Amino acid sequence: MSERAATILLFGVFFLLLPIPFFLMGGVAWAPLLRLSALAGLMSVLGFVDGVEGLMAVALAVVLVQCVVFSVLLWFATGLVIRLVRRSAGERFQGWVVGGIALILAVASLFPIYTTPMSSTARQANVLEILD
Amino acid sequence: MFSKYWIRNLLAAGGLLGGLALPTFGEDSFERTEDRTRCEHYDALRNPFFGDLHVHTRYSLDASTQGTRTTPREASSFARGAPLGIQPWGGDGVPERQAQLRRPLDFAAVTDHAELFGETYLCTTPGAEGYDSLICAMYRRWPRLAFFFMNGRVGGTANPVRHRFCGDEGGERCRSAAAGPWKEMQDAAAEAYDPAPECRFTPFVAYEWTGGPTNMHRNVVFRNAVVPALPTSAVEATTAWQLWDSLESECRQGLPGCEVLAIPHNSNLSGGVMFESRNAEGEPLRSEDARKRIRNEPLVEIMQHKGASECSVATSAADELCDFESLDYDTFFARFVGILREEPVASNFVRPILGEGLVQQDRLGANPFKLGILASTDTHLGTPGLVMEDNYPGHGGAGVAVGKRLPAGLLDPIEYNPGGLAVAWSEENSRDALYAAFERRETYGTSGPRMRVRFFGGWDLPEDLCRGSDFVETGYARGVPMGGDLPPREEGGAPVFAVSALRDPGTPGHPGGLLQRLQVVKVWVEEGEAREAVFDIAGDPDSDATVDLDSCRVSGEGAESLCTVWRDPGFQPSQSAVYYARVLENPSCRWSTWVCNEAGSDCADPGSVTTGFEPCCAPDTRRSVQERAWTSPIWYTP
Repeated sequence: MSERAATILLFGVFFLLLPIPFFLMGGVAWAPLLRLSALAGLMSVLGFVDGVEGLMAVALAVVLVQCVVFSVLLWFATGLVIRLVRRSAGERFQGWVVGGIALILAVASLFPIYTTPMSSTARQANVLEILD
Repeated sequence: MFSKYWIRNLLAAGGLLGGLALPTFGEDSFERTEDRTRCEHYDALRNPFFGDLHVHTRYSLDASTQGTRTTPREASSFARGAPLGIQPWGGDGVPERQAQLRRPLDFAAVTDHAELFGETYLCTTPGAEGYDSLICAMYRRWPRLAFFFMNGRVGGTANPVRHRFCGDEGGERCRSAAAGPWKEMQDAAAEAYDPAPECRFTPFVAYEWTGGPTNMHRNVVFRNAVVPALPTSAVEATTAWQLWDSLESECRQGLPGCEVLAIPHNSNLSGGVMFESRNAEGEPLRSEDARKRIRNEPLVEIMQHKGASECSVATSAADELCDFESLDYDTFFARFVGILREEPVASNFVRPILGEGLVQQDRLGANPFKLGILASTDTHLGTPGLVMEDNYPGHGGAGVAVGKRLPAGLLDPIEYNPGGLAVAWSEENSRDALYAAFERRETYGTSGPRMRVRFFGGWDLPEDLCRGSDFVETGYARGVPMGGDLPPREEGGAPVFAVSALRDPGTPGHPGGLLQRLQVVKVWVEEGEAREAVFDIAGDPDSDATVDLDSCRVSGEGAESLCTVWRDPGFQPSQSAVYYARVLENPSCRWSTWVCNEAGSDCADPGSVTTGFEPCCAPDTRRSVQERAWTSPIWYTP
């Protein structure tokens, strides 16, 4: 597996499963970038359809800016992890390490490890509930 | 001495016959606008009736988006003592929790947010126009997001705009759709109104006007069943002045028999602007502005789920009892966005505003802030009167999301509380009698307990008033009750105030707390500025009464009742003044302490504090409370 492929794969895992902190109206969330992106997408569509006024314009801007910033940061962080893995464990074990990280995150994500202040279900969620 | 006693009693009886002799002549002391007979418990000397004038059901967006399914009918049934299923809901629609009052209420009002009645109805009624819109789809799929998105657009702004699915012509589709829920509320109130002579329950038709951008909210309560075709929301009337104009034109002037008043609440979250001394044009108040204001708003809700609004230790530093269910932010948005947090300002609180009213009275000849006092819950579960500290399920609303399952931890933000009750001294439990009590401000608020509190003021109330059996008769005959104005001063002397409080007896297995003390709070104007002082007038502020915070067991001395007559030692005839009484119970466990204890959270053992219970051990968490009552004031004008 090439370094680029491993980076993309791990970025995908992180995007879906890694809890990152971001700010929402209801407080600080610890949830995957997927949730932030979905929120930004949904709010953008709603804003397009219904218009954004006052406070919601601010909220949308805050979500969009965070979405871009965290995407960039996560991409660079993922690249750093892959380089570290390749340097310390060697290219041969790169796939195993990425797979191991994915497995650990996948198992953990089945428990309510995410803090989701704007959730319609509960403020602690598992991966199946992070889009609530 | 003997003859003086009899002369006084004869005068008292004379005054009673002159002012309150209604049983004797068979007349009511209030106007009857409804076709109903006198209640069998009618008492010209009045009794306290306990109620809740701030209740949200499924038609409030912020309630429905957190799983509240309670209808206005169910809320009324709950107020009368019936059990109620509350969220979370199982897949089969069965509620996972139940709530029930230990004692029914005497009166209640469902006050759903008028702004989004129509939207809520359209988005939850299959086949309705707009049901398939993207906004409504979000409402059903992501209700919590809808809470922020829809409130942010319509409720939490100075310039609310209806959603596009409401139609192009000013959102007429949603405005018209509001008629459905509004009619349901009226029907529910009509059905719950006890027609029997026992007069056990009185529901009022009401709604909440939810003006922004900071908390400018008012509950609008109608006297009887004569109400406008639609409520006035903050979309149509964006300021309180416009609301009052609307109430005048659409109710008092436009609809024969319609009478209405507005009750502001949560001035503690208003960013200091709930009681501005400015008129609609932003100019200093004129006399007619002051009269308009007080004609519409004779009462204020001093305490509820989102904090107390009496006073703040930041602005009333000498009164440590102001640190009761206080919030450390001054607007609702600041709760969510920390950088917006500011120290609460004086004009967020009722006590300084009573003083500002005196200042304006001296300037204008009319007091714009002549506010009587009551409290309520602001429940968003449709559970009026659910004020128990020891079994509190949270009130929903802006609190913790309870969607498909109960969250781990506290079910309300730790700084919130179960809210309080409104109490009206009334001849009987009917709309006309209670409404008359609201208008004359013969009301008080409690933080939940049902103490019986009397407060009279006069110039010659006898000092032995508490020892006789004619406390009430003499109080009415020779003085004025809470909410009143002292009559013109006679020669010499200072005003005298008589305060009597009986503890809340509670219910079997859940006795009420003992009383610790009575206080009189005085606010006056000196050299153009409002001053304040608090006097302990009965009971023992240094009593050994305490509560064990681990078991919530109370111990120590306390009183079943307290009564005293107090004369203002610092009275200056030339200074305007206002006086109200505060009644304090002994300390008891706060709701959060009950919940934290039940969860086994031991702050000495961090491992025992599980997820969601961290606030139990935060350094600024209050663990005990002193439940209390606040009476409406009595005013003195030179």
